[in-house]
Amino acid sequence: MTLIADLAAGLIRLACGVRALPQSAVPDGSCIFFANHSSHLDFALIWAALPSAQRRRTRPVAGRDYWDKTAARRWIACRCFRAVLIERQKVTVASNPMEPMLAALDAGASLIVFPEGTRSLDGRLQPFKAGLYHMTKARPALPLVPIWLDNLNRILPKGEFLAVPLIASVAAGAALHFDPAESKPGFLARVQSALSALQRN
Amino acid sequence: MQPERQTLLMVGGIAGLLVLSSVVVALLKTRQPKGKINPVIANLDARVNAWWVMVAIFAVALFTGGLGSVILFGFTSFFAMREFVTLAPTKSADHRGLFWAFFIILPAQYYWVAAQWYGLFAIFIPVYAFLFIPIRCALAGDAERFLERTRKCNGPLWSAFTS
Repeated sequence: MTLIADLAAGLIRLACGVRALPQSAVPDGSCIFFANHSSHLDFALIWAALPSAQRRRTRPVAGRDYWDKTAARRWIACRCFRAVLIERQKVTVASNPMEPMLAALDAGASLIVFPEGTRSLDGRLQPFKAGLYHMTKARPALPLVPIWLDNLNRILPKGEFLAVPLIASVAAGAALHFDPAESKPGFLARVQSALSALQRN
Repeated sequence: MQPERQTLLMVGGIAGLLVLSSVVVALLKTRQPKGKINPVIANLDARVNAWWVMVAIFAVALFTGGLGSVILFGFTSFFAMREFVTLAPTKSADHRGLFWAFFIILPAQYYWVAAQWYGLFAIFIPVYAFLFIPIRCALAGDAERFLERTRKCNGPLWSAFTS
């Protein structure tokens, strides 16, 4: 299985023209990766670019309303990437999206989250939703790693199903930590600016 | 196709120079202290190895006759176009047009070349593709800066094939 996963990751990197992130760029243990979101390829590329030990523990967080809709989407999300599916629309006490994410983190997994909540159409960063704050507050020891993805909205934009072979790029920033003295808007502004600082222009 | 004597001499000469370079690099490496390699020598080593790969690819293309060269140039065009379009700021309305350029028009063009259909491959891109791609981009329904965008989709295709 590991061999197939490493091979698949290599193919994804080759197709997108991206180099693997060096071991020193990301923490070794469980952590939360947060990235800008503009394409379905986003989580596949982050997964492929991670060092292989970190890749084995990393699971993407995806919207149940979209990824649980057809058998093919379910297969990609659950079987290939072991996604943590969360409720986005009818959030009740029974379907609190925070619980499956915290359970995965407690089991030693790393998560890939897209705090904008949905894909951006033009590649610009949209305002963050509060979920990242609540998750970090519940598990304050975990490092938060910003990851900026470039060009994926041009390779496979929202609403398209065929990809154009352009060259993407993946940049990981220094890990951030939770600060109990900080307010929710202050925290969200800090992590959002750490992510946009990774943009090349 | 039997390779000509001059081609053989050229490839043999290049391979001889590379063997000499590899021997020099190996000798230089043995004179370094253990576990520490001078960055200049490491760089030289990487360059000599890269040259081996390049020469091997060109040699295979040369000795498989015309078809090998056509395939090599087809891939070169594909990768050149990929670099070009990555740098050109295309819009999402150009997406389908670009897909055609990469996966249908470019392979078709190299197929006409391999089939030696000169009458078609001489005009296929400048006439048919340059007409078709703007139509495909226009059908996406975005008229903003249309002529400029058309140039960004057509230009790479032409440059990738002619360079």
